[in-house]
Amino acid sequence: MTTNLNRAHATPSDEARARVSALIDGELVGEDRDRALDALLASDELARFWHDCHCAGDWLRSDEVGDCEPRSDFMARMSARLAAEPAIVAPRPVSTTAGAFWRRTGLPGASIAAAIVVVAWVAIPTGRNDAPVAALAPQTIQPVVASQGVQPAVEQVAATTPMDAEQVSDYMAAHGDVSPFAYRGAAARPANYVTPVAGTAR
Amino acid sequence: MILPIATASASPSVRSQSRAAHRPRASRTRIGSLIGTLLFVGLSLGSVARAADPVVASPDDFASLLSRIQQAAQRENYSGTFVHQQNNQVQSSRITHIADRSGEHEKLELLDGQVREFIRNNEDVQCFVPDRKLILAEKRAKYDSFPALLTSQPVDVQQFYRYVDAGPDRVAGRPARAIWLEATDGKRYGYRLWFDRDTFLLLKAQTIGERNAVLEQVAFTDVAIGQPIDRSRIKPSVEKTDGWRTETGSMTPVDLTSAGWSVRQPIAGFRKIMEVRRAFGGREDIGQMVFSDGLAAISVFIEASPPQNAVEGDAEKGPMHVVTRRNGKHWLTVVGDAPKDSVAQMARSVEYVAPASK
Repeated sequence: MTTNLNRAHATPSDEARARVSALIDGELVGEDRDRALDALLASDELARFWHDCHCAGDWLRSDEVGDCEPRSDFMARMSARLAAEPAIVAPRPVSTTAGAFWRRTGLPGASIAAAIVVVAWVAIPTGRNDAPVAALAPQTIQPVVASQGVQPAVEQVAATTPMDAEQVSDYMAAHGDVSPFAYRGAAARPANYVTPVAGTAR
Repeated sequence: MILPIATASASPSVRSQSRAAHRPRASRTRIGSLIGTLLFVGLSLGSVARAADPVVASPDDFASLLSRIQQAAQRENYSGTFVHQQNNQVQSSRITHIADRSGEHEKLELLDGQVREFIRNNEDVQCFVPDRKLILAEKRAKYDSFPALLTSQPVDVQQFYRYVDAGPDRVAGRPARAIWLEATDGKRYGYRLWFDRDTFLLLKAQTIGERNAVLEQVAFTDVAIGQPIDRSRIKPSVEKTDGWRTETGSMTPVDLTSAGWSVRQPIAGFRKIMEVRRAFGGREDIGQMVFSDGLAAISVFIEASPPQNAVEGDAEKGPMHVVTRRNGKHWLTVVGDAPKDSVAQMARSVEYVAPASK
């Protein structure tokens, strides 16, 4: 990953904007997505375009619109912070579903920066389905790379293999409901405990 | 990763003494009088402690103390902010709790990350999820949030936990008392509790692992206890919920034993305390058997078949461990506030014997 966030001063092309739109709609995966995120980080114009897309979505979707004020010095502050942080290298899990961007635990370098950018803007449902939004736990600036059990088991293995706590977060919350120390209940509930719409693939 | 949380400390005068030993002679007399002052002040504060000093000796005494702590969470008015720390995650919450003739009324707001609010009126709980325009309604047989301390059965402070009175301390600006419950075997965690000296409200709690590592902590950073609270402060923040979806969670008692389920070798001291049928995660008919030793709990979730994309494996979140595995054609998910080996042992011990057809 390059932490060198040079500002691109040229007006973003239509092609670049189309890529950002596709990114928002969750249509990009893998390398395409990473490239789009890198481009997004590098350009103030594109970042503003991203922001405008989300505000527009807000107006369309609800009567109440949250705070949509752009943070003018946000990119400057974020790039300063990123420059100070060590680069994080992590294994890259296989992921094909669009909604899985939010749930990936082993993010390659560029996507970590993008994940931070996304959290700072208002977290908005992907709109495509009611897949759980932002499994990013509250206030983790270093994303879940640091947690244990990063490798998701793709195939069934007889011996116990480490797996992503994400997959069993419902059970952990349901257990916390009856645990003697009640702080494991409500306050400790993961963000996506609330049941997804029936029929949504987990 | 262990969070570097400071543990309950002894009186500050002790630390001053060790620093004083290295000072040059000329200033020692001045330090000496300073220490003397600190000791005097420390002792004075200690002697102000209430007559209701909980000097716990027997398991019954300890049960009374825990009961007192639990009742404080139910019967007091309080409002404050508390922080839950686990590994590198931090979550702040604000709680407002009113107890009056009509019972308990409570509002819990998560202050970090996603906006989420829990409004409780006695046993009816509503969880508001604004970003999904969703209300999750559930009935609770028990209480839901710190500082409540659910004790469903006596804690064996003779065999499984060693009780230590850690003396007076200070939490959220209030005089408190600390008690330590040290695990006597490696199959469970230890706990440290701080409760308000005057009201017995739980102010801080820690889960202790190997080598006294603090695995998890929840603590008030500020709290007001005993003052009248206006009812408007426990109303949901969202006023208009037209067009919102409401989902009802469910937890109903069920007899899993008669259905053929048992645990051959539970962890020593863990007894079954409840069996319920649950619905969550978009699935229904999930059986849950809960075992507890009074302070920790282990749940065995039983489903007729594995959920989509389920894999056998183990996971952890802070001090909580999870093991998933097949049992015949059933699917088990075992979740415990216990070390990994204990959770794995429970998972291996679950047994199903199909009941004889009648």
